[in-house]
Amino acid sequence: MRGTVKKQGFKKARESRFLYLMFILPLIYFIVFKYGAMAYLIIAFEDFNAFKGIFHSEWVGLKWFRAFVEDPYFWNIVKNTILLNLWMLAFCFPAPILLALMINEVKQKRFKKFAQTISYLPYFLSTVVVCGFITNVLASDGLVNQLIGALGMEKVSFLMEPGWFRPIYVISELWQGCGWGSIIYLAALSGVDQQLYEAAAIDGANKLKQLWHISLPGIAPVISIQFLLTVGRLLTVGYEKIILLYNGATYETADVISTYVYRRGLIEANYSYGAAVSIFQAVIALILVVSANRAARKIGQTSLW
Amino acid sequence: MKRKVTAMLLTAAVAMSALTGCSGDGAGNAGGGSAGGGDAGGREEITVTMMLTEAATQEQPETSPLTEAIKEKFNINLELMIVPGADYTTKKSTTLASNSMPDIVSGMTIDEVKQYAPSGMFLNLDDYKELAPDYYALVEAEDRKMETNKLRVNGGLYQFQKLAYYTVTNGPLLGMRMDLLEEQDIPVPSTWEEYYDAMLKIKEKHPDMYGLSTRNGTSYLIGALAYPMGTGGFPLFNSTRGMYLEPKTDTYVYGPTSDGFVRVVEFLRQAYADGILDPDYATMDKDTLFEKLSSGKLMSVYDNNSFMARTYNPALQEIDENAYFDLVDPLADEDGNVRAYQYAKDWTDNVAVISVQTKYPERIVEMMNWLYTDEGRMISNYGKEGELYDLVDGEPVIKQEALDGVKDASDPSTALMGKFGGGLLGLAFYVDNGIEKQTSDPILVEQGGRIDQLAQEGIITPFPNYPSFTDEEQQKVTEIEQKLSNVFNQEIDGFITGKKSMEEWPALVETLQSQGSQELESIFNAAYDRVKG
Amino acid sequence: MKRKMGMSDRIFTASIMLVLALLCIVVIYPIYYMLIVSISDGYAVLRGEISFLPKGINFSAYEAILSNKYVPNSYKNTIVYTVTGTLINLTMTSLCAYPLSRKNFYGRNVFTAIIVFTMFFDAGIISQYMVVSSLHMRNTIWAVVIPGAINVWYMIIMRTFFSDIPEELFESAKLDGANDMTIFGRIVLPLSKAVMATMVLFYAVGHWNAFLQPLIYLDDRNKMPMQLILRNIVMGADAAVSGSSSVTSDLGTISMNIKYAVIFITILPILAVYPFVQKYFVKGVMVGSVKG
Repeated sequence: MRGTVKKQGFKKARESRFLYLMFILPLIYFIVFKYGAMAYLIIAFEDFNAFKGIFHSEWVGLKWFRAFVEDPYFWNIVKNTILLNLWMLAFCFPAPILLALMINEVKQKRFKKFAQTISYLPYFLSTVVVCGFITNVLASDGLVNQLIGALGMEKVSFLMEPGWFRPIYVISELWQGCGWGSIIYLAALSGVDQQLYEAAAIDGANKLKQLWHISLPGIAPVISIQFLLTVGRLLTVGYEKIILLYNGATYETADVISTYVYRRGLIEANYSYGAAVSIFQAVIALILVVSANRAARKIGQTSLW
Repeated sequence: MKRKVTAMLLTAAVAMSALTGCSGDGAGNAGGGSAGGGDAGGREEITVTMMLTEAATQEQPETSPLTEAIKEKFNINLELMIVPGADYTTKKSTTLASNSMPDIVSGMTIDEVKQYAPSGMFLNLDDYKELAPDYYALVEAEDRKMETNKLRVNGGLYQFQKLAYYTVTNGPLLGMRMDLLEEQDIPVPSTWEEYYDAMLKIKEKHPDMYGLSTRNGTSYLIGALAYPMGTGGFPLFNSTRGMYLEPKTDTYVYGPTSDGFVRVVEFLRQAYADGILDPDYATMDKDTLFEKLSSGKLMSVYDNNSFMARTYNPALQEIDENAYFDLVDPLADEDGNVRAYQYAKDWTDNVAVISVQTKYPERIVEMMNWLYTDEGRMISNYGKEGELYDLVDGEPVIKQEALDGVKDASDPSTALMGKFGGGLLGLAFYVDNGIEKQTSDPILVEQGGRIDQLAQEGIITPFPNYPSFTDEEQQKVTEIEQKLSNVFNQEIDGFITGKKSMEEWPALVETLQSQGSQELESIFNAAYDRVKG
Repeated sequence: MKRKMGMSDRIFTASIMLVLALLCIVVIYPIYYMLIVSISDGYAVLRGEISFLPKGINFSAYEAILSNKYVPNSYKNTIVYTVTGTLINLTMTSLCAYPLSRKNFYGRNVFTAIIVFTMFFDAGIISQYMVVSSLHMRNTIWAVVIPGAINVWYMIIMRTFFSDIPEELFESAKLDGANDMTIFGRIVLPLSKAVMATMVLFYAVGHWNAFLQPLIYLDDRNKMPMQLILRNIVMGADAAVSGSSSVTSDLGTISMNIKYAVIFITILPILAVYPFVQKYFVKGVMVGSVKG
């Protein structure tokens, strides 16, 4: 039994020899640059001394993992990281799809190009500039509070209210990334067969129905893949934007794993601790992606493997 | 799962070791030289690489009269690896953590030295003491000895620190709108109470104005007020640390749990309630603060006095010619005590370290030492004699044509110093800010003189550095400090904005104590005692 | 599509246009604001007087930046890195994505898993640095363009597009005696213009904006890309980001109009790329035309 499987494998491998030939370079790339670099993660189990190097530092086993997991703030920062990502999943994931579908419906070429170009402009602004702008707009005499004041309501100090942190973060991400994110879906939409729309129109389907029954299924594989990859990021949030937007008053909701590690890094450059945290994140991410992938396969959606 | 991951890592480790080959013993770049021969004491031509940063405000050329002089004098080609300042921290940490530092890394902070020196990657200068007589004479002199000792790591001295020869003194002090005081006929306040009343009175007339703010958030604000109000913590720009040295007892104290701290919180709480404290105080960045100051929305500020003359006064005077900020002498607290910090005499955020793997430790130490001699100091602070300056009665005087050349620059002194890569932001290690004195607004020089005067009277004292810890102590300190700052940062704004009642304050103090504030104090004091000897 | 639209469709299209127009305004105002600030008088900017119209129009901020002697050369470097890097990215990514998209590629699930694994176990920048150093690539263009040759996320997306190509096309090509490589050139590439164009955009913008890789791998200022030189201007005086409590770096201030002028100097050239990419988003270039 095993023997035949092996033989079949050989035969299959021979059949796809050209594919292997193509695949050699990428494979070498991953081995050298990704797996080669991964050796460094051993320092998570060491008391890393940069001078002695990776292979000669003292072995401390799970010390740093324990330090992280047993930290009294552990659950809070993990919870905040996951919640922020769920917010992102709820708003920032579907938004580019919607935008792409809307832009796709526009028939006027000029306006279409204009809307596309404008929408992805903010992507090019650096985080520092964006956050400076947010702070300015949300200040007590900023644009938003002026509006609120004009409507006769009480001013809000947005950046000091824990409850406002996630909405602010998500809106700024939407503003900055929605247009850019829609590009991939626009590319996918351009691949949907035009004949399908024509046939549907003849059958009397209106635009909304066409959108629902043709456009959306047409880009479903890309959506599915994007979703699976996003799920893998559930425990990851970059610290750059948050450290510019949070303060002690909003730690309660704003403090995530990366910012917590970052603050610790300000006091001491503990690379071992950092590596331990990233291994922790990676293991969880892996579990999430593997299960999400299994689920996707079960419901017959495009999966990663 | 765990075993699989371990297996994975080990496989990867094998791949890695095959790749890196000999990198275990490190030093991609150290030595970096083109020189022949190993006789380091000789005078043959060698190349030494130095990594340094270029500030956004001052240019750093690759070659300068200084590098030429070094070539002539020491036969060293000083090769500069110039890194843009905005990302220098990342560059440094990558270079150091991968153990591939060049011969010299300049622009290190003392915290970084403390983090990396225990690994053994830096040259201990004590082993080359006889080659650096000028440097040692300065740092071990009576006025610097104590601070130098605090900056030693496990007893060793690893850095060539930038030392002050002459500076136009600049301090994080109270600046106030003098025109508004005059308008209301209020004398310049001398106590905290008078200061507060003055702001209230101005507020009556100008309800849209706020009294006070600082930048960089709550702990910076507290840091600015706490020490002058008789307690301490979060000093100067070092806003992460609640510890400070209490001169009355000569011990380190964790500010927030000290008795006087509650006065600071109550002051700010009252100020917030009365509309004196700017409601955006906790989220204020530099740009927003400057906008408020230069558009006349704030009555006073705690910040570098140099910003007044350079930035907000001119902008303010365009819309109101009488308006101006000026320095206010430190205010007296309830008991009549007056005190304030100025920056430490020398710079702890800009020191140079030498790689222990360099081929030419002796010659590099000699070269660095030379920067502290009269000759090295002059050329690294003023360039070549006759080019930008002439000696008049033994004093360097900038030539008129050099001054004319930079008169359109936003800051003439950095523009001038950028021409030869000198001064504090350049390659000077014994810093003489004579150029700044000769090119600056006379107000800055005058204010500097006032601060010096107050310092002589003992009212303003230079900020004392923190002592170094042993590895064990450091781990404990890191752990406790992070716990404390998490608790403190989360709670403090509630007390200032009035969301929390002051009756809850003792509970916060108790929490902080239970998180180890007392243990932290004893670690600091043990380290301090070692320094005092 | 020549027929007349029904009433409901007209409302549908009109409301979409309206929403998009509103969104455009929301997005464009901050950018417009930055533009007018960049050409306004420095003190007026400092006082926060600019909101809808520029004040004291002048271009000194742009002059100040462009007169920096490292800017022209760094611009050239950025272009070189972007073009070379994107070419390498496209080649490597398709070499990886295409085999993984083929059902007859034996072991494709294992390979995919191995590759996706690297997305999460990211060892960080220091380990990358050690690998690049040991390969003697430091301070060369290769250090900037090769370590990021394949972005796994993009690769997976490309693979998804490839696997959307109908299987019959492959089968008929096989019957004609084409091997997997020739199929890639003759069928897959021509049918994948839209995703290729997207990849060009994504990768090119990535290289254009990159600063971390050039920062750590390049030691020579003459090799540095524009982002590194210009970032210094934008962030130079901002200590909050680096977390440093430094006093030295706090001496000067950079005015807001210069900070914003930097943005426009950086993004205008890369914006010009977009229309070329958009050309390939035209509908129906793909499957339909080949089938017919």
